[in-house]
Amino acid sequence: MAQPAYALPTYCESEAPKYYSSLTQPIVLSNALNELGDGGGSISCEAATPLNFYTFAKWNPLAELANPHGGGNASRFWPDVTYNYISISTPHGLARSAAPEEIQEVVRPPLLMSELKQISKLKRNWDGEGAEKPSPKTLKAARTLLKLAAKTMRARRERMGLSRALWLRLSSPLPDLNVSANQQLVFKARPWSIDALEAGLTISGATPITAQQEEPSESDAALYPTIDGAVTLKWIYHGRELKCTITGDSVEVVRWRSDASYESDGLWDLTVEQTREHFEWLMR
Amino acid sequence: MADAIVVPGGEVPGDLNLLRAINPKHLDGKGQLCDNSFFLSRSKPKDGVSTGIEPLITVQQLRNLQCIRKRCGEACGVAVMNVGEVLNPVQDTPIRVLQEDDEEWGCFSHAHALITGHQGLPKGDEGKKKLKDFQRHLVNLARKRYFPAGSTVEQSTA
Repeated sequence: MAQPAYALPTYCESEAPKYYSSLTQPIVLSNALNELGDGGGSISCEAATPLNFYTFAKWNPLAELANPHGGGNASRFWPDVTYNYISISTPHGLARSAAPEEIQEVVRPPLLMSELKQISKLKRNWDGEGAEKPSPKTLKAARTLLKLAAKTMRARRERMGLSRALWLRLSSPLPDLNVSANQQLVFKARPWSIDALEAGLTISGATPITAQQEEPSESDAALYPTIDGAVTLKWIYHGRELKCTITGDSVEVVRWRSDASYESDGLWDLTVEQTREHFEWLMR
Repeated sequence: MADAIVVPGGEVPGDLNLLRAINPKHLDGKGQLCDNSFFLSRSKPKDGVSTGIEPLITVQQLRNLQCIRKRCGEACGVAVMNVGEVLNPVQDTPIRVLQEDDEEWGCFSHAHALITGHQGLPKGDEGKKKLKDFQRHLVNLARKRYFPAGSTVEQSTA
C-alpha cells in the first residue's frame, strides 16, 4: 500500500529534537476510539518516542493522515512526542486531554482477566463433547500467571522509560481479547531518524508514520480453556510465540522464535513464578 | 477418481485434502482456531483427529452428517488441509493420515480418515514437545483455509 506523505503538526515540529528513543516494541491501544461511537472521532497519541501507526477498516486514518485538516468522520491520528499522554476529541469539537488517571475511563480494563472470569463459570462438558472444566487450583494459578505477565510488562516499560499512561493503560496486549480486528489499534513504536525530522519534518514513503488496513496485530494474546481442563495463555509478540498451559499449579511452557518456525525452542514444566523468564524472553 | 486411490485402512495420498469439522466451542476467546480442535492424546491408542477425505465428501456433506451436526451444530466451521502439507514436517515420525471407516458417517463412512500415529512419538518431554509442534502446525494450516461457522464455500478464506 502506498503510504501517505504527512507533515507533522506545528507543535510537534518545535519539539522535534527531543524525540529519539530506541523503543522497538509494539504498543497496543484498544477501544479508546470505540468509546466515541459511530459519529467518528479523533485521537492524538503523545509519547516519549515517535510512533508508527497501524489501524483497521472502521477507523481508517489514511485520508486525514494525508490531510490532517480534512473533515469527515474518519478518525484522525497524529503523533506528538512531547508528552506522555493521550488526548481524544470528537469531530464536534469536544476535545479532551486525558491525564494518566483519566485514561482508565476510556480504555477497558484488562480483558484477559474478564475472559478468565468467564472460563471459571464453565461447567463440565462445556463443549458438548465431554470437556473437563478447569479446577479451582488451575483458575487460581491462571490468575496469578496473568498478574505475573502484567508485572513483567510493567517492569519492561519502566526499563524503557515509558510513562505509566502509555504503557500500563494502553500498551498492554492483554486487554485486547474481545476487541475485533477492525476496532483494534496497534501502535508500533520505531525511532524516527533525526535526518528526516530536520529535513523539513515531512514524513513520506518508508518513513515512520504508516497506516495499514487489515494487518494482523504484532501483539496478540488469547486465553482459553482446553478440553482436558487446563487453561492456555497463547501470546504472540513481534512474531515470537509463547504458550503457557496451566494445569493445577503447574505451567507447561512452549515457545517458538517466529511464526515461520515449526520447531519450538523447548518445553518446560514450571511453577507459575518460574514462567517469568519466558515472559521476559517474549518481550525482549 | 479419489475412490480408486484411497485404500481402505491405508494411507491417504498426499495430494488429497482433509476436511476437519470445527466445534465452535473449541475456538479461543477471539473466535480463532486453537489447539482444542486438534487435541491429540498419547495415552489413547486409537486416538486421532477425525477428518473427511475430499472429494469423497464435500464441506456441505460433512456439515450435514448427523453426528457432526450434533457435535458442532448446523453449518459448523470447516478447515481444509492438504494431506501432504499436514505430514510434511513429520515425515520422519510415525504420524500418518489413515483412512478408517466410521459407521457414524453413514453412507460417507469410507470418506473418514484419522490423523494419528502420534502415540508412537518418543516418551517424555521430547515426545510431548514434538506433539505440541505438530498441533501448532495443524492449527496454523487449518487457519489458512477455514470456512467459519455459517459461511459458504464461496466465503472461504483460502
